[in-house]
Amino acid sequence: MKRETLLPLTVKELRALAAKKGIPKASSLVKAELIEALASSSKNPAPTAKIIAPTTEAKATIKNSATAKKISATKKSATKNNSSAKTKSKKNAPVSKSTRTRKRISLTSPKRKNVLPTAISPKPLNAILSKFISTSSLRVGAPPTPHNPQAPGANPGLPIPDHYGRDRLVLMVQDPLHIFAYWELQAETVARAINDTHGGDPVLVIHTSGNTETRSVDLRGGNYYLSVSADQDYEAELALRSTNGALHVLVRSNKVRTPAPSISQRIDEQWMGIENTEGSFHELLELAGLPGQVAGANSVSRLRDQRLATWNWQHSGVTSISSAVLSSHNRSSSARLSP
Amino acid sequence: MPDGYLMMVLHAHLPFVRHPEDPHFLEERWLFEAITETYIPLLSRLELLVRDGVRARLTMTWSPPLCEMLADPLLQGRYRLHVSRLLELAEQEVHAKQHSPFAEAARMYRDHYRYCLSIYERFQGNILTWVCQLRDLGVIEPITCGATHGFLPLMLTSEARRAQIAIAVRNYRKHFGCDPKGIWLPECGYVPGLEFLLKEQGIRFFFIDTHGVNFGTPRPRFGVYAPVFTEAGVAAFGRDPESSRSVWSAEVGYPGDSLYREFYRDLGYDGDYDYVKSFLHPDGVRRNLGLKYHAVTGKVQLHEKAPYLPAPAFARAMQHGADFVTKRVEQARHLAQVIGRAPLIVSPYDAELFGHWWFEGTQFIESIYRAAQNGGHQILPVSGSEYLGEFPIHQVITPSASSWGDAGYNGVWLNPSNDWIYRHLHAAEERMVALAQRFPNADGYLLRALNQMARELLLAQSSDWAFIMTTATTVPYAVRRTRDHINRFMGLHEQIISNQIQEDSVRDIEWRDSAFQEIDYHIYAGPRR
Repeated sequence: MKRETLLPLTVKELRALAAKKGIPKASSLVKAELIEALASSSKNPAPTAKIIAPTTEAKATIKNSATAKKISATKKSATKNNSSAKTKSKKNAPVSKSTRTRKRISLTSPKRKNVLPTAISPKPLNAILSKFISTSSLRVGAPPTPHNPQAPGANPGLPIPDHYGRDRLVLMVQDPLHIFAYWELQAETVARAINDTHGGDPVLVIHTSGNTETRSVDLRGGNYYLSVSADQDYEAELALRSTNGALHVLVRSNKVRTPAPSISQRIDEQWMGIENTEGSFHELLELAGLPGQVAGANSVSRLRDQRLATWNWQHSGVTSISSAVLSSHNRSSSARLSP
Repeated sequence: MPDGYLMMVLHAHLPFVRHPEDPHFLEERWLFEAITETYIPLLSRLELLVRDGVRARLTMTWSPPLCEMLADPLLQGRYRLHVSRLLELAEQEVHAKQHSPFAEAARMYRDHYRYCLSIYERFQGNILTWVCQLRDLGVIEPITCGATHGFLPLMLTSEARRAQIAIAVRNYRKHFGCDPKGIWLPECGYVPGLEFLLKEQGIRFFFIDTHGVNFGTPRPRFGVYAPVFTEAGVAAFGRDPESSRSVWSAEVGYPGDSLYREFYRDLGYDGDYDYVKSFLHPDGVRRNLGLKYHAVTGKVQLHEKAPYLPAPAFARAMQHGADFVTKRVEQARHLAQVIGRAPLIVSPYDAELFGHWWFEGTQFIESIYRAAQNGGHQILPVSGSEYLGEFPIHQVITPSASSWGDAGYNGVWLNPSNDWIYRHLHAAEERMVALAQRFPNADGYLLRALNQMARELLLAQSSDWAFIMTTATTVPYAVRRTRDHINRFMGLHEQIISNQIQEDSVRDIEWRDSAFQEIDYHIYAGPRR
């Protein structure tokens, strides 16, 4: 059982599952521990990349967009991972859904029905090319136009390129369970591959932890969101799959890793101290007027020179020591920080 | 010995908005409002604390774009004009409202705009001088941010990430006269490995969201209640969720109190059109002017809001500041039992929340320090460097990739509303790196063009644009800025590779996008050997 499938469950549900699986002391475990225990107890190999049907409808992936309401409508700032202090929804319209077609590919969900699209059968070269390439400009995977239409009379901004004349496949992590992929292919690259394979099914090949999955894609699309597993490395290739199953790779992606979705099971500890710099650190604090020291308001230049002369973080190092040392050190030093 | 330590962290940032081509550019008001409503009130209150001998320690980001704008003579001049006009309006308002329930608020605005003008004169238009004074007094520890608040996890190349950090550090040196010890990673966006780039630039600590620490490997013994060291030796402070919630939460947060000022009732909308018209933008559209006369009141319609009374509202903010401290002491005592040591509670917020959104928020900040001192410093305010100086040994972990955006990862800056920008930004990154490596010794207009390309890339990378596209607020401006910078970048690139640099074009773009005069494109060539 995968962690991400367990995450949405309540503690009560998790405890019931744990009890079913005979996990000891399940009633005393907190959620994260329950998830880890259940995930560890599973015999299933970790990130199999089960391919689930792509969908062609646009799906905005922004979660909980309503939390944006606390942010200034006209200003910067992040949508913090918490709720609004004041409801200031007046200036914040709901997040618009994309009107563009985007593909979603799930590599994980075991529950969704596996509905594969009709495979592309071998076709004459011209037909394949016309499928892949806008013949007027020989563009493949051209970038979409900006999602938000301009208000009437608004400055739309200066023109930007449709493409950059290179073969490119880029993976980007959206969150622990989703990766975004975009690509651009040169017409020559596709034509050459089609010649070599005598036509073929365009596929996205995803590699993770020894597993490989392929998915039929539309090369013209260029924007896909993939449902994946947390805490895994991913790489991908765009390829043409010939009728005999051979893959002709068009372009390879960068490598990304999805974040961990829960606390680490590693509990070994290493501790680090600042070696050789502690003295200069205190000197620096004094120079900065910290704590309680008063420096002249016009002494910035002098302080800068002194700081540059005394500060060298590059000399810090790693020290492995026991936590007992840490405790004693902190006890002794805490007195100095008293007001 | 205190029961715990409190690190208040404010993140002050605005995107670089400066349009020399338009004397009334609307979005420049973002800066003017923040100066008037947040920065000046906040710094003023910190100065009061110094005067009264109250221990205050505030770790505060002054982002490079914000510093560039605060120090810019053109924007300084426009700010003075802006406040002068507000003062003119407020003086009319004092007369117009003298016999109404709004009289006290009207006088408050008039007095405040006068004060802002006096501050402008005192610091010759640049309040960063004030920040440096408070830094020298030990009250503020200024830290830096990404050069243009670019969201580092979504950049393709380490060179681009390095440039955001290195150019920020250099810019900090220009404005503060020393090197920053800390950095606020834009949007708290972290991916493993960033710490080595921070170390290269001499950064000693950064901030990370709660789950970035708690999901780190190995498991952090003290959670977010003590900093951790990364393998690079750079410390990471994790956000305390409890104290964040007490300010941000719609259910339990302080700013929703009925006495506080209501943001959405503004003279710009409420006033007679002919009366306010001359104070609006020349396009004549009603917008906020900053003079607001109503209180939150409760869950009522906007037209049912009660008159705003400043004195009881500010008294309530003092109560809330004291309550915040009481709760932190309780929290610290509880945590101490759990982790076996005095915890550090790190409470980061957007600076502009205080004063701009939550009008009485700067009073709240001041009251925290007063209440902590009145309580005998059971909870002791500390800054980032100060804490690390006193507690230099910490557990080593690799934090987890994270951000402080909605859902905690990259989705705010990467979703169907804004994913179109990345193929352009990434192409620009790669072209910038390639040219930096190809031209190690550029001079003349080639040098200027390369430096300007670096500026354009940085400005296009600002996370603010992707954020605005997500929240669907001022989207046309965000789209325009992204497209303009990409266009200018690619145009300069074309000129360079075709060996046909147009000097007029370079000068024009330099004039339009003038941030970071100290920029050096060589940073994109990779680490210096």
